[in-house]
Amino acid sequence: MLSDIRAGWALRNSWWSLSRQTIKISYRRTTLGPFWICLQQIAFVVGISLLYSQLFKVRSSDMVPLVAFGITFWGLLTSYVTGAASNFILQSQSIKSSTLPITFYIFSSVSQNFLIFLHSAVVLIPLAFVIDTTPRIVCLITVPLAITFAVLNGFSIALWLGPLSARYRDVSAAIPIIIQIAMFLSPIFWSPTLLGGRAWIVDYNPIAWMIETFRSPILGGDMRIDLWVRLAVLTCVNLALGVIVLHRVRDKITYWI
Amino acid sequence: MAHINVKNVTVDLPIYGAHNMNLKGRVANILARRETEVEIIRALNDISLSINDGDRVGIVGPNGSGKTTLLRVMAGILKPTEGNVEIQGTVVSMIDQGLGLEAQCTGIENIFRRGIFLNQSTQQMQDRLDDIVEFSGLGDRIRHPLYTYSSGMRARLAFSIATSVKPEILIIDEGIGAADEEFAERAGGRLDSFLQNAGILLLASHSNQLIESWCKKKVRLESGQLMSRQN
Repeated sequence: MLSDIRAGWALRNSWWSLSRQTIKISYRRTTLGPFWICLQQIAFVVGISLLYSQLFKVRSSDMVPLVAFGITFWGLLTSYVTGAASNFILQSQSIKSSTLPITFYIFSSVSQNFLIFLHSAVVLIPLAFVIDTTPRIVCLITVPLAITFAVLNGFSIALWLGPLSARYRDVSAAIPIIIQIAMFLSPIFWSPTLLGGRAWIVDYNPIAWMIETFRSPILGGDMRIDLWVRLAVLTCVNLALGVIVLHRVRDKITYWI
Repeated sequence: MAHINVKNVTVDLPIYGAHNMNLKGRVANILARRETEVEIIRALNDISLSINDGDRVGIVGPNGSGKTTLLRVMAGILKPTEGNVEIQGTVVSMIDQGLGLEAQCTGIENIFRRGIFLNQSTQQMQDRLDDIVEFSGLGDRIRHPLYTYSSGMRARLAFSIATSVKPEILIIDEGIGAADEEFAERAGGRLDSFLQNAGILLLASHSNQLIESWCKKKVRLESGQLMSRQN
């Protein structure tokens, strides 16, 4: 069952260089390249932070890092969900004319979104050092670990959501709606402590687990071991589901796209 | 020793329409205990073919007769609905002229991109780069972005890349498209030289002339059925 994944992994040099090139091309089209992407990100973070710090009566110096780290990581998570749902349909021409294993296209899309995230995270690095609470040394472990969990889940969801949305085309129409709702239920523009009695929402929302485990240690919040455990279990279930689904429908995908 | 063995292969392509291609409809059908009807096109019907080392097979037939589907099956891209396919040997297929190509990238960058989709490493493509550029006859234009190329130039590039790989099985759909006569002649020579030391060529085309000059065998497809074989 793991042979599909192994076949794609064996081609890592190929999809990695393809992903890098694809991003370079997208930069080539905008004259100033990454500059505009950063500027857009900064404008959004500052704008939202100023507004919400007024509404929530929180200091804007607390709001900016909260929103900046929250929205950047949220960007990675949503790119994985939307990427998973559209990948096979976008790549249908190649899938139908190349002998590459189907997981090549998954690895390729996952690594591409990972690189986009790394580029957008560049803005965060100086920010981490100017905020009041200096990041704790534990971040050196928690940040890479949280990103690893996100990438693993991004890969896993592509294994089952990809085939599902190739077969049923209304799935990709439902995704933006789900993402919209998830955005309101996830601690991107707010921290769980602001919710008071409704903080339990975070306990049942996997996206909240991911954002909190990534962001909380950086902002000097508490380490929620229970969220890490949930995240680990979620990742295992997600991956197992993906491997089983892909193995069962792999040969049919070419018929669906 | 390259060979392809196709045995009783049938391919049924489902036609998904709006009513059976959405999850909402499917769930409604399951709840109402209704069968979801899917219309099916039989693209290939009980095809058996054995192709061996050194065979150069031309596949002819009208539009929609199943030529491309048969090529996909023999390339190992499409698993047949019924029947078996045995493929031995490295396969390079030119089924989609645009495979892996990116309009914004230069000819050289696109050589590497196509290489990836043909399962070749960067190093392997690097070694063949000079040969590809030279044979394509594109000269300095190879440094220009692909969107400036005519379709004939694209066809030259695609053919030069595919044959530089020197696969044991080469699969070509629709010949070399818009490439000119001069190139077609050189292309034939190149095929001869690399098919000499045993290899398989599968060519689907509407051009009788091309089939006659490149192939030694001919199979004819009509509505998914194998009509005739000629040596």
